[in-house]
Formats: sequence, C-alpha cells, structure tokens
Amino acid sequence: MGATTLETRYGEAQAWPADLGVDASCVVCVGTNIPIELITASGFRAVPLVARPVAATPRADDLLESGYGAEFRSVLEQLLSGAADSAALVVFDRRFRDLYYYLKETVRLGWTPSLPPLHVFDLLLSRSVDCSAYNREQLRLLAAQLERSGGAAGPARLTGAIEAANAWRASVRTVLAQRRRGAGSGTAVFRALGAARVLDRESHRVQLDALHTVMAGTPAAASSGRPRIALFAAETLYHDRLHTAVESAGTVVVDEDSEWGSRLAGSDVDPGTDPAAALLAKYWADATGRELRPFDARSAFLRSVVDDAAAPDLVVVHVPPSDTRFGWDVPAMVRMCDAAGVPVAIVRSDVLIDDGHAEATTTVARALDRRAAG
Amino acid sequence: MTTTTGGAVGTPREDLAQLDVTHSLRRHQREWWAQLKARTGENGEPFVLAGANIPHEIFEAMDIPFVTDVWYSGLVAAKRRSGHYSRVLDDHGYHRRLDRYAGLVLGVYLDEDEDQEKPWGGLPDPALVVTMPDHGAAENIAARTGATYLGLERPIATRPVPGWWELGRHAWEDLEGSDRVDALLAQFRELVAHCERITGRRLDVDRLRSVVALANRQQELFTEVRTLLSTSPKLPVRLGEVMSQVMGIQWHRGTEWAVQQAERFRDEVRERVEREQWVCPDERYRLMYLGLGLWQQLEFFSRFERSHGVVFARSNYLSIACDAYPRYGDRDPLRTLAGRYVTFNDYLHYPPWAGAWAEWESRTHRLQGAVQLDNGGHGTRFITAALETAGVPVLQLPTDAVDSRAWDEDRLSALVLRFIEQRLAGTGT
Ligand code: SF4
Ligand code: SF4
Repeated sequence: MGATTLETRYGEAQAWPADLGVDASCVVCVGTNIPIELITASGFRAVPLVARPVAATPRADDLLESGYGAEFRSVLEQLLSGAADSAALVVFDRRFRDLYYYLKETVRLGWTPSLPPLHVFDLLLSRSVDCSAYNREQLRLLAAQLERSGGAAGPARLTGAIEAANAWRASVRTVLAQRRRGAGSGTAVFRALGAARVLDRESHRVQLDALHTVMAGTPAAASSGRPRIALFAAETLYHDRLHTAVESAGTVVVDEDSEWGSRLAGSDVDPGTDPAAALLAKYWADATGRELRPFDARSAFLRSVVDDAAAPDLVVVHVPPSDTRFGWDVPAMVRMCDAAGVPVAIVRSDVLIDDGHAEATTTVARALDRRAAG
Repeated sequence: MTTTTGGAVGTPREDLAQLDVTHSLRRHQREWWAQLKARTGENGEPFVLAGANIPHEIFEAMDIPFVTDVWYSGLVAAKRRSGHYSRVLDDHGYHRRLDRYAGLVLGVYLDEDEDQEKPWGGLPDPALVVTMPDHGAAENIAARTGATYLGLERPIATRPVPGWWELGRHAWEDLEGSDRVDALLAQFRELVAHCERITGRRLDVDRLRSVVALANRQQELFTEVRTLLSTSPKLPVRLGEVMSQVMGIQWHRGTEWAVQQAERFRDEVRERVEREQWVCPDERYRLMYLGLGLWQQLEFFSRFERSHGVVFARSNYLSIACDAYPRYGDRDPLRTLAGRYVTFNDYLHYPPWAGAWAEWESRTHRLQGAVQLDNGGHGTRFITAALETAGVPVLQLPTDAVDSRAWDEDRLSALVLRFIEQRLAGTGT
C-alpha cells in the first residue's frame, strides 16, 4: 500500500484545474517558509498552494512580465481562478512577495472581489546581521492576522502543534533515508512526499510510516546497478517531470534540492521555553532559494550531497530556458562538483513539454556514457 | 516629414542637442577616474564596488574610492564593448537569459585581456562588493576577486500609501514603519563595519551628516529642473541629455562638485526656458518613458520630434531623484538613509506606488502618453493599468525589440508610429 495511495494523492496535487478543497477552516500557504505550526495551533488547516504543471495561464500572463517563470504563473493562475476564495486567509512567504503585491492591487482595484484577506510573512534571511527583532514582529503580525481571521492560539496548542509537526518530520526523514539507501524508485518516493500538498500532515505521516515499512523490507538491490542521481533545479520542483526524465535514462534519483523533496522536513523545532523563537530559528535555518546569501548558504545542500561518503554518481542541474537567476550560480556549482569529483550534467530543456523531457533523458544518458568511458 | 496631424513642420533644433554642462560632467568624470585609479593602484587603497540603490553616502563620508556597477556597465555599452563581454560571460557558462546589463561588469573581471584593453583601463579589484540581493552577478565578482560580498535585504512594504512622494521627504519614519527602518539600518551598520575594517578608519557621523545634506541639496536642484521641464510651455532639453546629466551627477552625490554641477545644470535649463529655446518648437505630444536604460539608444527619445512633434518629457531617472532620494532629519544620518532605501525599489516598480506616481507625474507634466519597456521587469502591467485608467495611453515595447544584441530600429519605429497615429491622434496640442 503506502506508495500507491500516496502516488494517487500526488496525482491530485498535479491536477488541473486546481481544486484545493478549501473552506473557511483553511489558511492557504503560498511558499514553504511559513510557520505552519502557528497556523494549525490557531485551529486552521494549513493548505499549501503549489504550482502545478499547466499548459496555459492566461490570467496570470496578463499581469506578469516575461521574466517570471512557469512556477509563479501557475500559482497566480490558481489564485486568480478562485482556488483560495473560500479560505479564511492566504499567507505568502517572502519569495512570493511579488504575487502578494499584485494581488493586493487587484483587490484594491476591485478586480478580485472574492479573494480572502492576504498576508505576507516576511522572514529576513540574513546570515550575518541579527534580524531577529524584525522576524519576531513578523510572527506577532501573523498571529494577530490569524486571530482576526477567527483563529485562537494558546501556548499549549502551539507546543502541541510543534510536536505533531516534528513527528511528521521524523517520518519524512526515515523515508528519505530509505531512498538514499537505494530502496525503490526516486520518483515514487518524491511523489509520496509531495502528497503532503493534499493530505493533512497526520494522515500523511501514517501513510509515510507504512511506506517506510515496505521500503525497509526491500533489499537495496532493487535499484542496484542504476546510477544514483541528485537533482538541483532553477525552479521549485513542483512537478515530477524532471524526475521521470532523469530516471528514464536508467537511473534512480536519491536526492533533490527541493522543499517538496529531500528538504521537505528540514530540522525539527525545539519548543523549549520559547516556542516562538524556536519556530523562527527553524524557518530561518531551513530557508531555500535564490535570495539566500551568501552562496555558501544557498549551496549548503549541494555541499552536503557531494561531500557525503555515499555521494551520487551524477549531479543533474536543471536550467530551463525560462531561467533568469539560477544561472548565476551554475558555474560555481559545477566547480564545487568538480572539486568533489562528482560529474555534472546540465539539462537546459523545458521538461514540461514532451520534446524537452526527451531531450533531458538524452542529456543524462550521454553524461552517464561519458562517465562510464572514464 | 509626414505627420498624421497634417501640420507644418518647423526647424529642428540640432543646436540644442547638447547641454554645455555635458563638458564639465565629462571633465569631472575623467579627473575623478584618474584619481580613483591612482589611489587604488599605486597607493593600494581599498576599493568598493556598489550597486545602484546602496547608500553611497557612507563611502563618500569615509573617503573610500567606489564605483557604481551600472555606471560602468553603461560605459561598457557606450564603448560598444557589450558584445565582447557578453561572449566572455558565455565562455564562463553564464547563459543568455541572465541580466546581461548587470553582468557586463562581471564579464570585465573575468576577461583575460590586459586592463589597458578594457574601458577606461578596467576596474580595480574590490575589497568589498555590496548590492541588493536581486543582483546575481555581484556575488560572482566578489568570489572572482576575493572580495567580501554583502547583499542587503529590504523588508517588504505592506502599507500601500499611494501618495508616498508627498510624505517621504520628512515623514519617512511614519511612512515606512520603524521596524522596517530598523531592519535595514542594522544591515547598514554592518556595511559601515566592513568599510571600517577594510580602511582601518572610523565613520565620522558628522561628516556623514554633511554628505547627506549635500545629497539632499543636489536633489532639490534636480527638483527645480523637473519643475522647469514640467511647467514650461515646451520641452527645453531632450530626455537623453537629462538622463545623462542626472545619473552622471547622482553617482557622485554627497560631494560639493555634485551640488555645483546640479546648479549649472539647473541654470542652463532655466536659461533655455527664459530664452524660449525649445527642442521641438512644433511640440504636439509629450510622452513619458518608463523603464530602464536605453543608454545605448538615447537618440530614440528625439527620433519622433521631426516627423510627429513628439517629445519625451519625463523619465524615472530625474523623478526618482526628486521624490525618493531626498530624506530629511539628521539626528542619525544612517537611519535617514535607511528611510530612503527601505521602499525605494517598490516605489519605482510595484503597485500601488509606481502606478499612482506615474499617473500623478503624467498630470504635472501634461503628458499625452507613455512608452514602457518590458525588459523582464516587474509591476509594469499595473503601471499601465493606472495610466490607462487615467486616460494616458501606454505603448508597451517588447523586450526583443530593444535588446542591445538585437536592436531592431525599424520594428521599434513602426510600433511607436502606430501608437502615435492610433492612440495619440487628436490628443496633442
Ligand atoms: S519635430 Fe519639432 S523641431 Fe523637429 S522639425 Fe518638427 S517641429 Fe521642428
Ligand atoms: S531600476 Fe529598479 S530594479 Fe533597477 S536598480 Fe533601480 S530600483 Fe532596482
């Protein structure tokens, strides 16, 4: 069981048009750098709104310039199509601030009368300057907004929410460890993890545990001989197209630098005596994305992957044609892999379209041939 | 010489092509550059490479040689070397959709050519590189040259005050919110600490205070220029000239020279107005230009004078100098600078601020239309909506038509001409 049920749920998370199944008991979260624990402690269900691979985004295209990639277009299209209209609140993280600005304006102009209140959780990520006073104020503002939206948090409920989230994280980690061991398909595990988008965390945890049991009983031989791959992509991996393209070359994906994959759980929150500070510390430390500075912070996951005793056989870096920022890091990432002796393949095609998907498979296969040839 | 309005066509004022102050600007740039090279070369003084929206006043106050990266990019473009450095970026694995304009400076550092081959002899290796974080090339420059990199984070603005330009000069603390100003100020303090480390000198706050005062004074003079441009019966100076002067001075703000140059600039514009010297005596349509650069193509702004009586009377460059730079209150000048920058980028680009501002400016400048560049930026659709709602038609120029690698003169002219004929006809004077 486990895997197939979760894969089905992953399919729902990819379906279009998006139906989030939200109502007034839900808070829709755009971006993953949002303290979910505070939302669930307030009595709401936190529902992630994640991009979906979709052919056309006409409403979003009207508002976004050419520099925005498919992920932002898909998220905005969902919000403009009413996916969050029934929710109590929409919360954006810092990465999605442009969409927050734009939607605030569509509300002000009367273009989107049915959107619920919009809030941005602005966690500053500086690694060298102490921004904790500002970040703490952001947490207070989010709590106040949740209260205005009808929620009620108390210290006891917050601790409970933190413990529940930590338990879910532990289950995520065990499944990730099994995948690294070579038990099962990387794509299947990625889908199982991605089912977090449609399942509440408790149901997800139960099913992940069932999956773990199955995987733990699977000999690593299941994928033996297949090259082990780690994925690094310009855009959040909100779809499994890169995975399927890469695994079509006879490989197994063991890691991806993605908040919907290997970085889904991140670190635990240690509630201690100051749960608010602990929450901020976790989300600050686990932040991903281009805005994180310096490069060492952005590339910490790559560093941990290539320096690992069980380093992958190949690192695949995905730079789709729409990229306007990730490419600044790519040469340095390649140098890091070279120094660690891990080969790299750069995939430049758009894997959301079939030709690009096939091209990605070919690129990976060629890189593996070169590796085999020495 | 065909015009859709069928009017007679006057004499082009080619003699007004260049302001006299262009010469003093150029002269100063040469002298400043020679000094900078000497100080960072033979003297071995530490050098700072800074992004555009950074408190340069700190470097000025600490007497640290610095260069604004986009100014140097402009120099590379003006020397027609963009293609060469773009290829250098290609060779180092940076793909073509990355912001090449910001990247040109990285190309210069990566290039193996001798420094003499580079524009104005190339840039010194910096000790410190500081930009806003949305600047991908800067960190690579720091890595290449062994400099410290600092990327500053702006807290998000959540209070949409459309009339920000009326409040910001004095009431910035209320307008921006103290917690946001605090957060940026903490980062400015870190910047100061780095400057003190690389120079071994301390920041003198009194000195910073007078530098900020000089910068404010300069923006007041710019505001006088803007008033001359917006209120005189016709346009006395072409937009390309205005942009060159404004930015040429802006990168040296906080110095006595900058104030003096701004004065000369204001005087020359005023003189033209008093003598009723108009760049296009048959001016019929006044437009604004929204967006970045076109630094290689400044003549674009005068191309439609002759045929259609179209002038460009307003750009972001002068107006942001008037409305977002001046910030008063000198108890803590570093805090005042944080007040300037904490929402700076949003005012220029994001709703509701940018659209409301453009709309207000279209009224004060008596504009009939706007030309906006879609260069992969942000917020442009909302600026268009604000202007169109106010009855100001907007022409959206597609990126590929203005890309310096594929500047398509004919296509661009055709677009502008169609816009004039279809959307402006009958609205002019
Ligand atoms: S555009 Fe203006 S200046 Fe040029 S010819 Fe026509 S009227 Fe004269
Ligand atoms: S034009 Fe806009 S994006 Fe560019 S530097 Fe200025 S504020 Fe930043």
